[in-house]
Amino acid sequence: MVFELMNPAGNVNVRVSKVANRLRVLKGARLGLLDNGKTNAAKFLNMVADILVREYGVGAVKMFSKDTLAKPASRELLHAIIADSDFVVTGLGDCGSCSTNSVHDSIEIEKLGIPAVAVCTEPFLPGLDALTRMRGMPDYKFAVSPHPLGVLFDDELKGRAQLVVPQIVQIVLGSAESAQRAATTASAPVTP
Amino acid sequence: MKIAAVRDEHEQVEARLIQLLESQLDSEWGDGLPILPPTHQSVDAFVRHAGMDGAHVLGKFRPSEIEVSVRDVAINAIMAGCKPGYAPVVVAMVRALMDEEFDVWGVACSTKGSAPLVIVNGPIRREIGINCRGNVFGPGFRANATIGRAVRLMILNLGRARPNELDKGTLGHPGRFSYCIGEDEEDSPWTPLHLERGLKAGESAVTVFGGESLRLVNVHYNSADAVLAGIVSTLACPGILNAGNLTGRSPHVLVLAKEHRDLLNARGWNKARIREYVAERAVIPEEALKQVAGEADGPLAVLQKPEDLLIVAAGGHAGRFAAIIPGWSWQSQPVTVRVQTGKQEQ
Repeated sequence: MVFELMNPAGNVNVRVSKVANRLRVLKGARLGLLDNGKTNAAKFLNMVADILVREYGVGAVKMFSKDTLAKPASRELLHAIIADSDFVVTGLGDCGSCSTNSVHDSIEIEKLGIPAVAVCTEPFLPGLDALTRMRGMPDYKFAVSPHPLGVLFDDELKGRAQLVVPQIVQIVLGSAESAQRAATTASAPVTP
Repeated sequence: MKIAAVRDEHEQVEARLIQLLESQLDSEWGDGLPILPPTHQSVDAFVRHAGMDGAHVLGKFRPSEIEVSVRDVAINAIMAGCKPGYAPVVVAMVRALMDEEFDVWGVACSTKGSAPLVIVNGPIRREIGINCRGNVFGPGFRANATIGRAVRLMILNLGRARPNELDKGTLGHPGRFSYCIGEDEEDSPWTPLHLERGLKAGESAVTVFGGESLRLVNVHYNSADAVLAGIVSTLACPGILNAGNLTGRSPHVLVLAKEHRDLLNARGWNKARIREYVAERAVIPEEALKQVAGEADGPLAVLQKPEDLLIVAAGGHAGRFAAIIPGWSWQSQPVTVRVQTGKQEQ
């Protein structure tokens, strides 16, 4: 006797895409920052930008904000960002809804043609890996910081910025040279 | 010998059924409780009651962004134990859940671990047996229990928000199993929620609200002012407010059971007056705010405006209790959808 049961999980119709092309060099590249409005997100992103400018020669930096904190960024905002940027760092992803939305935004930016790295914290990795598959970009990589992040005071926040920058560089360049440089600095592992 | 053979056959069927139910319990498509197996027959019956084609797409469910069909909804509703007759309410509920204003993604995935509270209004309550009175938040009523449960199964299976994966609720709360109530319109002296929100008398509706677990207001002193003071102080609680964060500044629900309702009504209070009064007075003083937020630039009103307090008449007819349900965030707003019965335009 066989019971034939229906599947409750619906159909995932996903078009798989590859990440955007990597940058060849960081020197002079235009950096776009997408602040999701979480506590200290803007402050942290600026700390990250400072290091990228001082140590890696990144050029102009422009901050963008979304008012829909834990909802996807609007198409208008995404187009405004890519018009003025060669690569993007988004954050902060240190809670359930905002981390997934930062990764969602970053994947949408990658589909529009430039690298976008979301900064998220470790406890959110399992969900974020699931999300990259649901959005059809399983080779998407993001930067990982220990948790917590946004609630920290300035000195610890700076420490975290120093941890994530080498990961951002490695992801955006995707090259062996940057990987070696990243390996010489203390860093949390990049998600595969 | 014949009797033994029949008994053996029965035992085999029983064993097969139990094995099926056990395997479902252990599968990833569940909330930890046993389900009713979604057979083609039971799902088709539910789809017929929905009055639409099974393949008709109702919308996208986040975070997965899966396009959800009437049949997808039926499968999960049957698993939850819903009767086919609940279909119009379940469909209205799913439409509300998928509305961008409600932001089911945030409600389901945030560390705050909120749950959609489902409030049912109108004649449909009587038709399908929605409990609006004693133990309204508790077990014992199939319609409440299974419609509430269908919400969670859809979030798990269609939204793909699984605990410790995309659902990052730190603690969660029991309402995530099932959180469905009806308004006691027959006993309440006040305008029902759905009419306040734009529907017409005679219509039925579902309102979804992303909320925490309920906080009991326990005031027995025989004075309307005392009840209001209890409501205000339960709302203006520094430890639950997280002022500077995504999860503050949310809408709230106030549920008033009969004894409190009657006491307030006898002194001339109605929903609008209660809302205005409470919104003005539920304020957290600066010093208290500093203790939990590190800094504060003045006192903070818990409700951004009176309309942010939804008031529902529900609960038993004895007992001086009310309940406050804080919302997930300003980012999730309650959504009300009319219940449509019979064949529908798609």
